[in-house]
Amino acid sequence: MTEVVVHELAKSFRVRDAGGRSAVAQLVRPRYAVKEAVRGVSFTIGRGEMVAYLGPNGAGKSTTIKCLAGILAPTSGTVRVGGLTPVRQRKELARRVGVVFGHKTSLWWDVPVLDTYQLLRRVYDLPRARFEARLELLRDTLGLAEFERTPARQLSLGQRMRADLGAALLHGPSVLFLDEPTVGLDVLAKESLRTFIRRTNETEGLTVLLTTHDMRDVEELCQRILVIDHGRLVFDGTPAEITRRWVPWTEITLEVARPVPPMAGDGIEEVAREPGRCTVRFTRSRYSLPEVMAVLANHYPVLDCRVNEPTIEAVVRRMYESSATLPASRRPQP
Amino acid sequence: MTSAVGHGGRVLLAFAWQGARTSTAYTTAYWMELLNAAVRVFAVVTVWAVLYRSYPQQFPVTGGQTKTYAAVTQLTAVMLTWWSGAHHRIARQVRDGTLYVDLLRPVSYPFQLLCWELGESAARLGLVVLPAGIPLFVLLGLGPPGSAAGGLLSAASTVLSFVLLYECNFLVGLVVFRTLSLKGVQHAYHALITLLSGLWIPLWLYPGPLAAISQVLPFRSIFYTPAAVYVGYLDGPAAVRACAVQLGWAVVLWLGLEAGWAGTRRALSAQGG
Ligand SMILES: Nc1ncnc2c1ncn2[C@@H]1O[C@H](COP(=O)(O)OP(=O)(O)OP(=O)(O)O)[C@@H](O)[C@H]1O
Ligand SMILES: [Mg+2]
Repeated sequence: MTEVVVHELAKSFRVRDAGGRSAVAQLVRPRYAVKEAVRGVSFTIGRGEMVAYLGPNGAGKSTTIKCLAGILAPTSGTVRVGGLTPVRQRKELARRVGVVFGHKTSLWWDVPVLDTYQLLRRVYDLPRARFEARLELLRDTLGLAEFERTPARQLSLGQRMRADLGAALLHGPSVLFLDEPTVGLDVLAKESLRTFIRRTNETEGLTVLLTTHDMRDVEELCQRILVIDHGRLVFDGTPAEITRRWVPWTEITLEVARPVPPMAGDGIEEVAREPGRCTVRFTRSRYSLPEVMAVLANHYPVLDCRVNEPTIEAVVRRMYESSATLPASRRPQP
Repeated sequence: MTSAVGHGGRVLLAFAWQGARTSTAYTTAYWMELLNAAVRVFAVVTVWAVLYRSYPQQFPVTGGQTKTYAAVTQLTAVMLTWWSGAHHRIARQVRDGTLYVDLLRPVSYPFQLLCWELGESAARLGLVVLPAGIPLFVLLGLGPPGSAAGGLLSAASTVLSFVLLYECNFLVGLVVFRTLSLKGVQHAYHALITLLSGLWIPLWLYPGPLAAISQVLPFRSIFYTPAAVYVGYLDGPAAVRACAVQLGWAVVLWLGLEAGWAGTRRALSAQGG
């Protein structure tokens, strides 16, 4: 069952472009430039999948999410969520999806959280019994009880995000779009949010698409990663695949008894050295770990060693760095 | 269809209830509001009493009617808080970007806003207008409605006033999407209301040209009509006709609002919030 279909999605904005002209000229006869935020993105997401949507600042992530949520109309291409066309069938869509924008709250500012939920019960027209059961569940899993009578404006960021997540899931949507849900949260708050999302995914088969700049979110939640850059999809695959492709090596840090000349073999090379310690990098496709260990033990007087598997963080950093050095048009297409 | 109406009604009630609770959330502010309302009504009634005593021959109504008209319009104004209605809420939501959050809900944005405003107005009616108004009416010796029918019609007319004012405010609010600021428009708009709605000056005092202008605009229906019906200056067929005009404007402006909002929605979904 596919839940989300994005086909050749493009979205451009018209922005005022003074182009060195005077403010008066711009006022009298405004000139516009076209900003292409998303340029031909295609992917599908199956029911129950949790997918990370990554990309550097300004890549087009939020724009895509807004198109999926029915806030923005695509300039071209098609978008379907749960079989619906977002902008045209916005109200039906609203009943089936939940959306959280980490930077914006959906809670009414002066209203206690519980009262907001009561209002949402009316807005979504939920039967009382179903609402109560749902609320009970959210109360437990999100720990709402401690602040449910507090107006939104008095909540800490972590509490607000939990309350927002609760609000997005109150009506039991089957798809959840999260735009930077963990932004600004402390380690524990992030952890509890992730646990909640994972559990909801497992128990309700919730489909989740989330954007984030915190790679721990990806490691802990997502089996699949989409990467967008300058409005184009540059990767679609598993965390293992993205690692294989962008960081095809593994590093080993060795404690050595005495200095020896650096190793520079074929597919194994020393990349850093401090007193008493060397870091060696090997290409995973060429050697297995035991083979490398044997070679290293031969060359270095090894006292101890530590294997540094590449983190998603490092992989993504490399990706973003390499994309920044190439102009968009010359970047290799996948 | 009936289920949609039922749903709308339930949303309306829930928001009204919430509006009442939010209005009473700040106790100090509440007492100040009550005091402010009382002072305001007292002051305006006093001014008109003095004016009437000085130039009784200028007035087509009695002194009692003049004072009552002043009190009714001021209390209605307090209930509707026309100076900070939907247009301010829209401006704030455009500024802080929370508008598109409201677009994510399965209820239309104009309807959501209407519910909020209605809730808050209903709350102010119960919590401010009646507690301040009833003692003042007794204290200042102000009159009951001209007739029972006039009283009922005036109450119905006040509901239409609420709707009309909401529509005007919303339409003004739509301008914010183009200008990103309410400043200029708001001054012009508030000047129009002050001059042509009968809020400060009963329209029966207006000279020919100004009266003619006020005739063709919707603003007179907001404050003048319910108050003039209440004091009995408009009664019988004239009162019914004035309320029919109100209803007509309410329908026309609602269509305008829907069209304006549809256009803004299109622009928003092309350009983002
Ligand atoms: N309403 C708008 N009007 C004009 N340009 C816009 C608008 N919204 C986004 N853009 C532009 O489109 C591009 C993509 O923006 P988007 O918000 O989708 O990026 P993002 O991937 O979410 O970035 P971030 O990680 O910083 O949140 C940016 O260059 C941005 O300036
Ligand atoms: Mg973003």
